[in-house]
Amino acid sequence: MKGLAIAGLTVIRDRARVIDGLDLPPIQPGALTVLAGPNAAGKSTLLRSIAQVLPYRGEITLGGRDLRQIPAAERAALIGFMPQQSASGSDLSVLDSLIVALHSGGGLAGRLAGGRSAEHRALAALDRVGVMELALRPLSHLSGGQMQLVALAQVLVRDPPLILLDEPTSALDMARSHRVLSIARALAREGKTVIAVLHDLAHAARWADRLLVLSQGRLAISGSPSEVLRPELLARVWDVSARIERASRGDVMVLVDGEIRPRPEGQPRA
Amino acid sequence: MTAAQILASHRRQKHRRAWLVVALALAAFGAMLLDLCSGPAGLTLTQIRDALLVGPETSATNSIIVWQVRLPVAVLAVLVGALLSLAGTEMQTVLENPLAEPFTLGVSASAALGAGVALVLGLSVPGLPGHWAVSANAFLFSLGALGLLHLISSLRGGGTETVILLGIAINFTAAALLALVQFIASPDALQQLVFWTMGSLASARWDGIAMLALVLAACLPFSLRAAWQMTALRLGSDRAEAFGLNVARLRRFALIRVSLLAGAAVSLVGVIGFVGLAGPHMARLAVGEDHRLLLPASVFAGALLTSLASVAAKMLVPGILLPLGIVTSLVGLPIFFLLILTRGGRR
Repeated sequence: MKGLAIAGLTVIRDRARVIDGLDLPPIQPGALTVLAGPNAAGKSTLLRSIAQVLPYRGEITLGGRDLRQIPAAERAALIGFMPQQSASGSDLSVLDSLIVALHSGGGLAGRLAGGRSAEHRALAALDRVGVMELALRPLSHLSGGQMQLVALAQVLVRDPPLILLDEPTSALDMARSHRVLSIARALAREGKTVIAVLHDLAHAARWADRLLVLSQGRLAISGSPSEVLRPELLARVWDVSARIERASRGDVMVLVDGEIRPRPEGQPRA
Repeated sequence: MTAAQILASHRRQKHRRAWLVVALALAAFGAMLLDLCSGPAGLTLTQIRDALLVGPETSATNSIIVWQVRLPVAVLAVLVGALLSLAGTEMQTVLENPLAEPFTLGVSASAALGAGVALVLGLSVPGLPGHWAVSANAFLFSLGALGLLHLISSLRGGGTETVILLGIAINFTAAALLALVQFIASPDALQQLVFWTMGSLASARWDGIAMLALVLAACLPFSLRAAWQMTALRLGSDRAEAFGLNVARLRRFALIRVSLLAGAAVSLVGVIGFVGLAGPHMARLAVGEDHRLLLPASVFAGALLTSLASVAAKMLVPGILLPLGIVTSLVGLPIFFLLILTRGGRR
């Protein structure tokens, strides 16, 4: 089995079960998988667990191998994780940050990254994301959107087979969102396993090959966007009354009419 | 800009920064020579050179001045600066806080408490020669402080904020206990203790210098080996972990190195502030955050700062050797303000 499999995953943070015994159907390479769900559904936690940044119980396997059993250096070459948008206070230049990303994993990525070839690979990654002109800029001088594109380049430069993107378009305008999501889909088409957390269901509907909806740390539903996105689901999971409309080319559109069952933050759903 | 232009400019920048490291090294060496040449005896350059060439085994006055007073002080200044600044850089990087340094996190205060216990209460490691008692205590107490810091923060499973808050707590606790020791001290012991806490190179001895050199030689290779990881940590701990880096392990080993470096330096010369803060910042301004350059640069920047402070300590008030700790703070403070102001303008 080539893809990513998750069984019995439980993640506890600050004594709360953020993810509770989650089983996911296998996530295969070649398709762009989008994780969606309301706030605090456990999407980022799931992604960070897969990236081995958070401790968890249960099993996460890639190509049949338990990720925890793989030595760190080798594992780093397998997983490319783009954390949620965060500003950087570092004065490293964008180009240097990519070269560091290339070296520090050790393993194959580290050994390949000799002097000039590292620079060329870094520039190629920046070029693919469309920000080559930022190469010499310090990270601390980038805008939120620029930082997000650079963060994607930091993942691409390592060329990992499993790519995890946590809200990769949250700070981007329409053109750049389109660019990032088409890169994500192209990476999937190249045979990589790509999982992206997206809040915007219009984006999810437009780009996902497969949509997984999380709610309260469990899988609510999975399938193609047109199978998954139904008014009943939006009401149950997101607490909105919404219509699903078809646009001219059959694209799914989500139109929200209002919030239902408004309840205080932190209260469990009925 | 085309790719070729970017690469050319990137390489120029790397070369320039490598040269800046060399320049810092030369400046530190120059400052050490200046330190060697300054002092109340008014020796000429030729006399100093002759004394150096003859070696330490003669009984000529000049030779004694150079080999037993000036050279130990000059070398000790360089080493103390190098150790404190390297410790500061590693601490700032692994704790992801530009204000972290051995001084702010209680290492110096704990060392001073250790010295106080030896000087006032007469308690020290049994079996050590008398002149090592104070240093040994200071070293043990500073290691103890960082050990405690490490233990509690790992029990709590806390992040960098926990470590820093604990460090500040240890700093104040040690300062309070030191005040208590001072309160019960005899006037004689009190004077010695106050002098010790001001930091001084006057007690420079070759065995102490050898010890500092040894600590630096033991720590520096490991620091340099971790240079890539520390640079990666500057991208944020989440990202660094995703690159396959064991951040907790990196932090643990860096803090062990910091304990040894800072503990050794402080135990020998007393409390020297600001070098652990200003040295790293100066180096970072010169060469950026690539730790392969930043670590050596901060070693040289720290050496430069303390050497200059050592010269100033002799020159500021003619005929009187001021305590080094006072001078580094006075020299460091304007540099620090300048840094804050210029950085503020850049953002």
